[in-house]
Amino acid sequence: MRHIIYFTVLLLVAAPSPKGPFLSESQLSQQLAHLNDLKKLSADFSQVRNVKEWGTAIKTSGHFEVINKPEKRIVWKITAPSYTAIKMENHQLSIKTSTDSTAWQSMDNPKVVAQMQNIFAWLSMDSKIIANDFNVRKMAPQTLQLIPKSKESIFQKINVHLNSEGQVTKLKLVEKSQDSIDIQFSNTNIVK
Amino acid sequence: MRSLALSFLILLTPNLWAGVESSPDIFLPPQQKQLVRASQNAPISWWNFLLYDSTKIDRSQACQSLQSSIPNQSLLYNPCQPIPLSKKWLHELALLQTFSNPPPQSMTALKASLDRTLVSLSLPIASGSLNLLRHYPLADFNKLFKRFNEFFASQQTPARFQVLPFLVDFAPESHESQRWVKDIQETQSSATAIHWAGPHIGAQVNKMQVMKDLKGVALFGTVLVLVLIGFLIATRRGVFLALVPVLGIAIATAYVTVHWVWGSIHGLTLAFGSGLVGISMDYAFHGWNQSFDKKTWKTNTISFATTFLSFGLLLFFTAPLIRQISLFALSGLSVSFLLCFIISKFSSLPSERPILLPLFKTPRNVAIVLIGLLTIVALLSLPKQRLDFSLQRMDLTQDQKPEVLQGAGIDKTKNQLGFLLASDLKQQSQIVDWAHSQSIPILNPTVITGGNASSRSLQIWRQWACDHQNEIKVLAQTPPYRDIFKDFFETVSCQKLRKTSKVTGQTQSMFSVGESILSIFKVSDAKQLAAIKKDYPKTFFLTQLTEDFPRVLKHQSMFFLISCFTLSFLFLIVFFRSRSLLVYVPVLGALVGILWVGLLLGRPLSFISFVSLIILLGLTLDYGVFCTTYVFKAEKLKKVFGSIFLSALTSLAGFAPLAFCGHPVLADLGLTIVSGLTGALVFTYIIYPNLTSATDHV
Repeated sequence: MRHIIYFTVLLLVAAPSPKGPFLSESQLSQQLAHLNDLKKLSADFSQVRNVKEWGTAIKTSGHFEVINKPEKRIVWKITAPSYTAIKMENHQLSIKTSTDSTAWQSMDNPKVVAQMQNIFAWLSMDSKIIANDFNVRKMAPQTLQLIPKSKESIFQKINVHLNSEGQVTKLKLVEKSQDSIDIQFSNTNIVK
Repeated sequence: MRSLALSFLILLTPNLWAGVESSPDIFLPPQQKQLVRASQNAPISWWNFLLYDSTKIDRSQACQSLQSSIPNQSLLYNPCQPIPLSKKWLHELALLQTFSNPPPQSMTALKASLDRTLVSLSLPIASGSLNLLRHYPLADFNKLFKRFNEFFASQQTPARFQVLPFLVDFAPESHESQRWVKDIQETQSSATAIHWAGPHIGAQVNKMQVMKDLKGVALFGTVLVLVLIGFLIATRRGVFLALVPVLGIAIATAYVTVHWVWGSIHGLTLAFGSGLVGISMDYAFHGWNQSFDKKTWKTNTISFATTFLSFGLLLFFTAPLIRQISLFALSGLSVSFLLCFIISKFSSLPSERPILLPLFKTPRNVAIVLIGLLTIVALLSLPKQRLDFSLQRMDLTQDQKPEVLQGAGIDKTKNQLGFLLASDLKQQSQIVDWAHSQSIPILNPTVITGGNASSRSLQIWRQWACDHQNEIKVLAQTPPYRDIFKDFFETVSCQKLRKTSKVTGQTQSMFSVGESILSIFKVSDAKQLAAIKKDYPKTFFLTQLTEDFPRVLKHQSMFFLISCFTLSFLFLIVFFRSRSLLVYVPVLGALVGILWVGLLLGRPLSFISFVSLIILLGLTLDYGVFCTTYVFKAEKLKKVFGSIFLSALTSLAGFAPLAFCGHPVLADLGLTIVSGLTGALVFTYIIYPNLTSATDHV
């Protein structure tokens, strides 16, 4: 009996942890190397926000694009069920709720800006920002898990699923409130 | 004795402080107090200000500093957030907002509005109070809070210093406030780019300094009193120690009386009131030193009655602080006087070794020249003496930066905030319309949200809901609207609205006082100010606190001081007839002493000096009454001088260390008492013995 216990303990100690070690910035950069020189990245998305408290889900869909050159600009455009676009340009965050190109309104709430900047960092797969704000670990060959370093982050963790070409196909954002947001990407287009 | 009582009070009974408040409201008359404390939960006077140097840091860094130092849930108004975090308030606003807007023109418009809200809710940033959107999807929160933010945002051209006003939900004297101020002092003392101002910082910084000062004073006072006790016991005059419990009982009675009448007691009342109650010790000193003969009690009664009359007059003062101090003094003095009388009447305490003081007879000519010179120089200095009754003088953190004054709405030229109460929503709407017609910015959340969710708008909504009953029912059962907007559909259902006649009950929100509702004007020029004062003269401006109110305080102080003198003189003339003026010799000495110190130190006379003068009036009138009673009897006068000496010594022991305190209130109190007492003693010891030698009625 005693041997069985020893053996079990030994097995438990020796068994590899399901969580892999955190990736360094250079490892992460290597993982995302194919995105280093891209000029433009765009994709359609469909999002489901599961609100635990309400026991329901809110579905939205739209299109996003990341333009790196000549100047960095990220636009997250929700087209259904209603139109709303969020844009980050020169570190300025703006929002508009109509298709009118002059309707942009800047957002100056620092907390909101910080959260959105985080989200946009994953979208553009900027390894420097990601490594700065998150501990990144490889969960599976094509899955990265991002744990925010800041305690103030509203997110508990973010799972990033990549396809064989290294493109993001799915994001799962788990908030501290246990609400989660699943974003599925399709029609990804990369211009180098 | 006074210092002993105060020292023990401070050192040994800290729990007493739990019932002691330190709010600056104590200076305000009730009607202004109600305005400034415009809501039970968030008084208007709880606005604080973060001033930042825009050449060193930007707004987002200043915001970061603000938000990292105060918990979000405690910020009722956060200039860095588009939405204040008071959920209850938001909930009420949302309800009114919904009904103050017209119903959607069609079901398509309603669905579009619900979809827009769905998108807002789908964003990761939609957490916390934004969840209210699901209850009231039609409420235009962004517009509402943008307007709210813009009202307080600085309209000036970019200046080096910018002000972020913020409203907290804890009181200036609370533990939260204490923790917060300590925290910003420790963590941000080196951050010169940021400056904090407001009642919370002021209250805590002042409190810390006062506690620091008082600890030193209490220790010093305790040592002095122990020396005094040692002296009394060693010289077999221990009977005087019987006065310690008498004084203790008197102060305790005064505390209970004020607490019973007011519901609380102010720290300043406790500090000044204890000094006033201590005056009663003069009667005991005097009584024991004169072996409690009949004449002594007659003298004591005249002294007590004079002091009682003078202090009684102060019950009619505008500032509640003075009324509170007056009540404290009257109750404490009465009890103390009665106890001293009972002790002398019914106990067989031996008359132990009276304290005698030799009479130094200054040559008459020298005395006249000396007193004359001192008085003339003091009187000549009058035009040079400065009177500064501003409340800021009592604040260690007083800041002359115009940016803070502007941000605080107390700058006379720009961004002056005016507060006005309306008795009902109808009057409130009229005020808002008037302000719009005059282009004067006005803030009132209830009206911004449509407040008067009038019976007319409810009727329109009821009509709409009942006309579209079936379509609304279908939409209300369609996912995801069914799950997310359940509360909204219930609120606007035909059945519910048939039973709802008004939603005005919900307006008891952030800026309401009982049934009344508060509006805030922002005045930027003299023309707007004149218009408000003409059409709404009841509007209260913060400048009244900083400028007009001190002016009223000064005039009243002068009026009451003269009244006290007049009343006491009329009373004394009954007993002393032609000698009445002699009673005022020590009082004159006290005034001359104060003026001399003012002249030498160049220090203005403050409101605290005035309050200290009341203590001095009580003390020195007693000295005058005692001396005048025995003015022509040298042997008796030696005993009077002995008791006066003992009384003055205990007072000086208690008050002199205050003159070295860092806090202006304590320093003013100490300096006034010390200079006044010294002047009174000089005049007493020079003039009265001279009168004795002149008439030689020993």
